[in-house]
Amino acid sequence: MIQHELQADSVFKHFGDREILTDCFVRCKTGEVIGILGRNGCGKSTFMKIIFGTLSCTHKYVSIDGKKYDAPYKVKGLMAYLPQQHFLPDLLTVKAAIKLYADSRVDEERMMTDENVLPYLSKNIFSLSGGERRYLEILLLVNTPAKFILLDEPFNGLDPLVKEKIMLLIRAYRATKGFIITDHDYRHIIAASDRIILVTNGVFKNIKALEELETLHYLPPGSLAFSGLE
Amino acid sequence: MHGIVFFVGRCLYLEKARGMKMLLHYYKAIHSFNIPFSLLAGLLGLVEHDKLSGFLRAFTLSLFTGGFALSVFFFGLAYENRYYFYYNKGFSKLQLIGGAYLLNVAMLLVYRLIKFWMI
Repeated sequence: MIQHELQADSVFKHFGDREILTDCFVRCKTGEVIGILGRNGCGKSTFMKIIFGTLSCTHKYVSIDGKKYDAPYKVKGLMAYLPQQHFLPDLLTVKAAIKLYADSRVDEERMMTDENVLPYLSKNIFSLSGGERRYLEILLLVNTPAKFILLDEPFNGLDPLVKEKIMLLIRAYRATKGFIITDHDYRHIIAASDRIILVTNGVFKNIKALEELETLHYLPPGSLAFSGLE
Repeated sequence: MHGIVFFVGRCLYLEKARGMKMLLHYYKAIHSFNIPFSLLAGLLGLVEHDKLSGFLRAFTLSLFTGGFALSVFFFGLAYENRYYFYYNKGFSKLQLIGGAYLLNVAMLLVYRLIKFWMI
């Protein structure tokens, strides 16, 4: 298996006087899933957009396999990003979206025969449910040649069955890609990730034991025990 | 050897064709704003000059300038996230807008050539 390494270092971002990210660092390798947790407005999405290259910042150093990139998204096959809101055009059919996005016939066939997509291939994207749409978006992204996939709130507003399907999708593709995911559904993030990072006061803290999520005031006391995660 | 050259050539061709499809998709999205707006501008031109040439002049002028700029602005305002559809395929906003504008220029050139041959 070819190993790739994404490194995002010294990421600084401020909005006016407010420092939102201070000297943040993440390293992700092929086969790894990094989960980023943090309270609302702490800068998780901002961080993802910065490393993807679509948001400017005070300073950053983003490299893939040791090569520095200012805007990795402009180089094909490096990164794909799932934004919080839906990004697929409403008027396309599912089939047309797959045909437009697939890089090869093999990818096209693989996506079109996916059991979760097959029943609604001829439907327009606007007529899909939130879960069907989210699944399709992630399926399209993991089938791009991107070495690293950034998922911003992939589980938000989805029912448990769709969440499970998305978990399976991440597991199926993690052998060849690295994932950085963020969501408020901490149970799924914990279940999917190899490492957890907590964003607090603009700083990234590597979580070594899940109890730290409570001691660092991300979770209310007793949440882990209640969720059976202790 | 010929087989390899053919294979590489075909891959490059398919790559370009897929890129072009994405650009055309953006072009259509932008012009779903631009064309109605430019038609309105064309109607104003008709009032001004009372001739088909007045309509066409105002329509083309809007299609290339104000209508195009407004379309890009409103598309960004209404569908900011839609840009990620193109970003994930390696297109920047500048490439999309520049590409769509160049397609417009190409259309104008074709129109001019047809008009030139017809006269």
